[in-house]
Amino acid sequence: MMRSLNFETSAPRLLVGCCLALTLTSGCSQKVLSIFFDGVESEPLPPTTKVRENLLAEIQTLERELAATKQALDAARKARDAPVRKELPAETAKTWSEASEILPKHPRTGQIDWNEALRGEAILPRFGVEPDAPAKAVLDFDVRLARTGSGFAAVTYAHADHTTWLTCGNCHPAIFPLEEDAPKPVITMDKIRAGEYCGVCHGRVAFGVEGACSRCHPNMSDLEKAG
Amino acid sequence: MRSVRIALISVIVMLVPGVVHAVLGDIEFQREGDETNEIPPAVFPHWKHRIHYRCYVCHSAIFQMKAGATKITMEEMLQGQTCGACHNGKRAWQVNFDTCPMCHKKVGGNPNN
Repeated sequence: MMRSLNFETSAPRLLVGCCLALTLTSGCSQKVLSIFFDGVESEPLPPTTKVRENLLAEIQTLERELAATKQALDAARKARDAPVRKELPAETAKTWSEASEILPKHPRTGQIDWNEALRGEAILPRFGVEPDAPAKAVLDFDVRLARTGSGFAAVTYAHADHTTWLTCGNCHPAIFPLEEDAPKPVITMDKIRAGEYCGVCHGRVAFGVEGACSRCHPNMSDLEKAG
Repeated sequence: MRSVRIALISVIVMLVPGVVHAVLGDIEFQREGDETNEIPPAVFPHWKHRIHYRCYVCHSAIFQMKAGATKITMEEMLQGQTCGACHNGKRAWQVNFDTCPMCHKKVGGNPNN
């Protein structure tokens, strides 16, 4: 049988309970109160290790970005303040025929002499993409090539003439192997004409072999056909 | 739509080893995958670049020495590779649909040739 609620006896109990609850909550810190009630401001929690790490990483990223931006700004200022070089006639040439008129010619063959163009400053090709890129070292080292044809056609290859333009890795070892155990390249005029060895450039983007024997074979006249 | 067009063209404009020379100093590329032959293959004015840069600026880090050995696609170019290393609108003119005829031209048909 259910006991009916007796108001007379339960009312004081309820009153006491409410008072007790009120006393307890009013004694609570804001921190605890904020758990139970919305709108009670709590003090910010100290960052956890994870949060701290994330913040530090973010600071580092921002510092890096700042450094990169500063660097870009310096570069832009430098570019702005750099003296403007007047364009050379060869640089303003619109067509190849125009350029080939301007560029110096080899005295014997009449072909364009790119090295003379460098020496005489008819052109000032950059050493890198950026205008102030430093030059790469020029290797001054002549190689007397072994003969593959007739004796008097021997060639002395001048590294110096080539390394003002090119770096070692452009030719070695892909075009001219350097390894001790690699087979020695047998360079013939036919192979050069077919675009191998010297012919990777010569006859394509550098002077061609026809009528230019003496530029590599000092003992030959330019009318002779290289064997 | 634009990206689809770029992708299509990049497939068309894939270059193969094998080149002919328009003039000494120019390199005219040949390509594969071009069945319509509507767009002429690219002609690269090597001489013009040589007047401004030493060979080692581009070779061999960007382009292998042997002409045609490095495959070039428009897609890669737009991502800053091959010609796109400089032709990005900052260092040199931007490769886009306004500049196609700068490279894709019939030999002798363009004053820049």
